[in-house]
Amino acid sequence: MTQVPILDIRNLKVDFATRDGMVHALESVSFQLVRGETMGLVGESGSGKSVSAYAVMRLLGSSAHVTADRMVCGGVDLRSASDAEVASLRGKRMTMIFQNARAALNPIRSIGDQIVDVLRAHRAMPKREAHEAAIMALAEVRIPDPKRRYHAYPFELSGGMCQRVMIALAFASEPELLIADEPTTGLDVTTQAVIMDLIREKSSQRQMSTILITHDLTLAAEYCDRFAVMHAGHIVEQGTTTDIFQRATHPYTGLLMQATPHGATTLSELAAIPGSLPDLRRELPPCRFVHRCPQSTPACAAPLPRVKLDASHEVACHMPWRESE
Amino acid sequence: MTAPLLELENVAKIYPTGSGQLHAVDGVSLTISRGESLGLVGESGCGKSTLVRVLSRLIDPTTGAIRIDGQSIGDIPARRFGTHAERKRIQVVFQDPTDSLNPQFRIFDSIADPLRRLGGRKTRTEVTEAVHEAARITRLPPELLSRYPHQLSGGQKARVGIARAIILRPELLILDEPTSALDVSVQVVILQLLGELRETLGMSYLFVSHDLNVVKLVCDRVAVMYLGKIIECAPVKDIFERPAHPYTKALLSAIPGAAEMERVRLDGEPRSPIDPDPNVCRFYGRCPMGQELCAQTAPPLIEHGGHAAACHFRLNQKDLPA
Repeated sequence: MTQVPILDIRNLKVDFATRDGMVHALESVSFQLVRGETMGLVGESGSGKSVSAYAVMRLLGSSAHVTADRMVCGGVDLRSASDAEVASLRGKRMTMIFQNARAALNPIRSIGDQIVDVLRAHRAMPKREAHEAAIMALAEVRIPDPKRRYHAYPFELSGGMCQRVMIALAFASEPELLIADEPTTGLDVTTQAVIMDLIREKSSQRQMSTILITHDLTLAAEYCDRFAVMHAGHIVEQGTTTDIFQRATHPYTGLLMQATPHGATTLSELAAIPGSLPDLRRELPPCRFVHRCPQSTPACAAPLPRVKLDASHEVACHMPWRESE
Repeated sequence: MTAPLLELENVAKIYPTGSGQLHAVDGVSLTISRGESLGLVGESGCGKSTLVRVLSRLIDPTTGAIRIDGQSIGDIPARRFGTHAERKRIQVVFQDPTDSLNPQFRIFDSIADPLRRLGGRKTRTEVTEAVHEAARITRLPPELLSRYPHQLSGGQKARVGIARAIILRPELLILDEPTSALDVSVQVVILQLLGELRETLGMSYLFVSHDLNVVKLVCDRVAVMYLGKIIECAPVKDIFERPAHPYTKALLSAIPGAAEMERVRLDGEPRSPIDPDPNVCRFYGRCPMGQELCAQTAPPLIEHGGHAAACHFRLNQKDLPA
C-alpha cells in the first residue's frame, strides 16, 4: 500500500535569530502523511509542534532560517516555491485551524462574509452562490440558525462557536491537508467532542489528511491513526496509535503517559517528568532529553540514532525503553 | 456526621439585564465537610465561577444563606467582607496563574499580601518567616521570592498562587481550575502538591474544573452544574460508575478515551439563562431523553442513598428503593 504522500517532510530544521543568539527550534524533523490519514503531533508547550506547522504553511517570519532535505506538499516543493505559489496552495490545498479562534477571525467582518471571501478567492464562486454556500457551511458545522448567524461578528459568539466558524472556514476551500493547531484547547469537553467528531467526519468524507496538534495524549489517541511525539524540537518517537500506546519506546513518551491523568485512579499513580525543557539557545547535546532522562548513559552523547522498530514505528533513542510489566 | 464546614442554602445570584433577569446561579444548596474535597464541574457559562465568587464573598448573593461553621456570612456585604475576620477561613486559588499575580509585586509581596491585610499585627520578621514557610511547603525555591511574576514559569506561578492562599491557613480552599493552564507534566506535580497539602494542613477543597479526569483524582464528591443549578451530586465513584443524570452521562462520554462508554453527543446550545421558565427542566431540548413531562415540571434535586440527581428519568437506578 505505497501511496505518494500528500506531505513529505525530511530533515526539517528551523532556527530563529534573536538578540540572545540562535534558537534551535526544530532539528531533523521528518514525517510523511498520506491521503485520508490523521496524524497527531503531541508534546509539551515549547516542543516545536506549532513551529512545525507554521514551517509547513510557510508562515514563519524573516527571523526564521528554514532548511530541509525535502519539503513537498501535493507535488509542490515548499522550499523553492515562490510566495505567490505558496499563497495559492494555502487555503486551497492546505489550510490551518489556528489555536485561538477568536483572535484568528477578522473582528470587523461578519462571519458569513469571511466564509464568502474564502469561497470567492479559492473557488471563484459568484457572489450569490457563495452567500448560499456560506450559510450551508455554517449549518454543516452545526451553528444553530445559520441564516441569522451569517451576520454575526466574532465577538457575539462563544468560544465554541468561533471554533466552529474557523472549521467552516477551513473546510470551505475543500483542502487536501488540514493542520489543526490545538483546535479544542479551552473548550468544554462536550464542545470538544462535537468539534473533533466534525473534523473526523469531514476527513473521512473528503479523504482529507489532517495533522492534529495537541498536548492531550488521550485526545490524540482517540482521533489519530498515527502520531509523533515531540520534545524540544525533535520528534522522539513516531508510530501508529497502538505502537505508541502499547509499545511506547522512548523514555519521554513513557513518562508523558505516566503523567496523563486519564486511566489513573489515584494521584500517586501519576508520575512527574523530571526537569524542564533545555534552553534552545544553548549548544545542545545530540539527544535533547538526556538531562531529564532517567536512564541516560554515557553512550547518549553519541549522535542520535533513528531506530526503526518496524515498518511504522520509529524512535530516536540509544536506550529504547520498555515499561516493566 | 459532624456539622459541615460550609453550607449553602438556596443560594441565587440574579443579574438584571436589558432583556430580563439572568439567573447565573439559581437555588444552589451544597455542603462541604471538614477535610472533604468537593469537585464542581460543568460547561463554561453554567455558573461555576459566579458560584465561586459568591462563595468567596467577592460578590453578594441575591438570595440564600451561606454559613461557615454554622455562622452566617452570606449577609455580610462583599465590600466589607474583604477585611472581615471570617475572610481568613476561605481562600481562593485563581484560574490563571499569570493574570492573578500583580506584575508589579515581587513574589515575596504577593505571598505576604494576605497576611499583611488579614493576619493581624505582625512584625517584619514574622512576615518573612511566614512567607518562607509558605514557600517551603509549596516547594517554591526561596531565591524566587525576590523575582517578579514574568520571571517565573507557569508551574512556579501556580505554586505562588497556592502559597499565598495557604499562608493564612484557611479551612476552605477554593481552587478555580488550578491546572488548566499547565502542561501535563507540570499538572501532575501541582495536583500531587495539592493532595499532600490537604492532608498536612487539614483543609477542605472546592475544586472547580471541567477536566473530569482530574476531578476523579482529587475529589471525594462531585457536584455537576448546569445552567445555574446543581443537577447531580454524589460520591466521585458513583458519578463515574453510575451517573444518574443524562447530562452527567454526556459529560463523561465526551472525555477522550471514554471508548467503553456509549457516546452521547449534545447538539445545540444550552437554553438561555435569561428568565428561564421555572417549570421546564433546564436541560430540556438538549437532553436525549427529554419527554413532555420535562417541559411541564422541572425535576427537583432528589437524594437516594447519598446520590442526588434532578431528573424525572434517572439512569442506573435499578438497585435503589422505589
